[in-house]
Amino acid sequence: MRTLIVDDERLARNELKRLLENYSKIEIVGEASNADEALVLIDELQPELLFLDIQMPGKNGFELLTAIEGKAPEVIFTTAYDEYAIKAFEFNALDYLLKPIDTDRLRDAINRVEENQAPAESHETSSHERTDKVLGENDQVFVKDGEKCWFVKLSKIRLFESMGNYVRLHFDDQKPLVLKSLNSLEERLDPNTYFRANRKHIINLQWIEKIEPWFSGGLLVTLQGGDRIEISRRQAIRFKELMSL
Amino acid sequence: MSKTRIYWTLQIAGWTALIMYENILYSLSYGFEEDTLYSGIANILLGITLTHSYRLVIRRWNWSALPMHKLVFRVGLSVLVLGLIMTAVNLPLDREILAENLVNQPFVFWGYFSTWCKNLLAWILSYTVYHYVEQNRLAELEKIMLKTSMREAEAKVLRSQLNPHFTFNALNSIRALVSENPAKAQHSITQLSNILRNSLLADRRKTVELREELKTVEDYLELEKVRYEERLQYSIQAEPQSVFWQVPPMMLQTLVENGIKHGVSKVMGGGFLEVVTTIENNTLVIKIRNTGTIGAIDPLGNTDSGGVGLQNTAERLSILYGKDARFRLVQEAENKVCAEVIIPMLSDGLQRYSDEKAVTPQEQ
Repeated sequence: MRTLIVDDERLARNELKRLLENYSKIEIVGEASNADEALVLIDELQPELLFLDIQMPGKNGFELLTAIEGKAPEVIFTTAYDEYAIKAFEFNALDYLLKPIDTDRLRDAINRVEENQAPAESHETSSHERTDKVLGENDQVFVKDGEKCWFVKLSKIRLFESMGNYVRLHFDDQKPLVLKSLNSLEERLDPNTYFRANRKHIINLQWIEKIEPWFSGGLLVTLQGGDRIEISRRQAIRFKELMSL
Repeated sequence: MSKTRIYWTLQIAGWTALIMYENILYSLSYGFEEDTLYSGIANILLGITLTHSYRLVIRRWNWSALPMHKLVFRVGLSVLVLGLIMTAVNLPLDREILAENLVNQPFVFWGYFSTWCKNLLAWILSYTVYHYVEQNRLAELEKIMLKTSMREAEAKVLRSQLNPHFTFNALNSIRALVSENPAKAQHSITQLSNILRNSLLADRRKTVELREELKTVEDYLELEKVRYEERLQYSIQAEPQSVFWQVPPMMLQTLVENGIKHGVSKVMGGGFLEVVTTIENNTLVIKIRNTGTIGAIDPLGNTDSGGVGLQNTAERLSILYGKDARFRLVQEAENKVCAEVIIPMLSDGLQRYSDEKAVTPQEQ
């Protein structure tokens, strides 16, 4: 597994590298001492796993993740002591290690990442054919809204809703806001899965439960979970093309 | 004790004055009679007895804690009942001893009744109002006392707290050093123990000599240097006369830690921290300068004013040294913050110039 270590302290990186020597599957492809360096390396090396410190000068760990264009790699956070961050992790079951790192905990975390990776492997071929910047349904993105943060698989997101400068994501029972425009998001989403229903909404086609004809040639789509989204007349034509054989 | 005394003095003097005033007026107009004197004395005793029992009642059932409307109702009723008793006793008595023409007027009962009620109302009202005000004042005082003791406990908790983030990061660095540079690792463990020991001792000592504190700070900075490597530059300059000055334990340490946490650690290329201690006008001046900007936004999204820690420092100083001690944080130049502490000499002879013996911790 191609791994990148991000930590501002040389000694901390060394210690982690030493600990990771025992894992033959982990291949350390690089290390970065701050977020800007890391972003360049992530783009260049396409690591599958990130060991990420939270408190760093400049951008912190969370800001680094939100700044990643395209799909986020698997992430294991490392932190010495950070009450707020740990609270956020526990809430969302994100993986984290406390420094100095406990070897058992490290083994568990790595095992979990490998388990996560395995099912995604089968789709790997199809996703590699596309350009890197397009997100497929099995890719995950990092989302942070206020104190809460999530790693969410795109397939779980049923609806993107434009709210001014923000986009509201709908998945599970969560509705976080991210600072992005719906147009820029549309460009990066797989058009086979995500459909621009109207000016304000992008829907996940896998989540459609019911389709009804609507006024003036439009359609009304009901998603699993009960959201009802109108497809404008112009988009309805494209929608029918896309859905018909 | 003295309150009961005041109460009884007022009771006796008040009733005597009231009744005797009437008696003297009567005697002047109709001539002195022994009977009226006795009835007067009986009235004084009766008045004291009745109002005193009112006092017992108000205390027994704690009327002053009642809401206003209930209290007013009870006070009104008491006045009427007590007034009725006084009238019932006095009217037949006076029929016997007073001049005919005074007692045989129409509505004499209502005249008596209203006079007594007026007197009793004055008594009861002043007593109840006093009691009511006193009770509220005590409750307020209790609240304030509770608040102070809570704040004290809080300050105690805050003052010796070593930043856990530092402790665990230091331990992590040391773990890495164990294989990389064992000698340095050993040295770092000693330094970390020194800091932990001092932070634990800080609870039990009111002040320490500045040189002890400087030693802790030096250990601390050396450990941070292990962690930050070339990203941290630091210097400590202490004027020789200043090092025996008595300062609150762990205060300088907290400020330096603050400087690292909010300044140096946030700057990508690293930064500097400088501690200068001097004696000016017979007071100790400590200046801690570091890279940074006051009120910068914390990367985790919290606005970072360094609030609690700095406030705590100022409070501790003013508790120990009064108004003469000062603490302030200024932006000296762009990207350069200076924390300045001014500490006067401790007045109560705590200042000691001797060596090791003086350093033994003051057990409390």
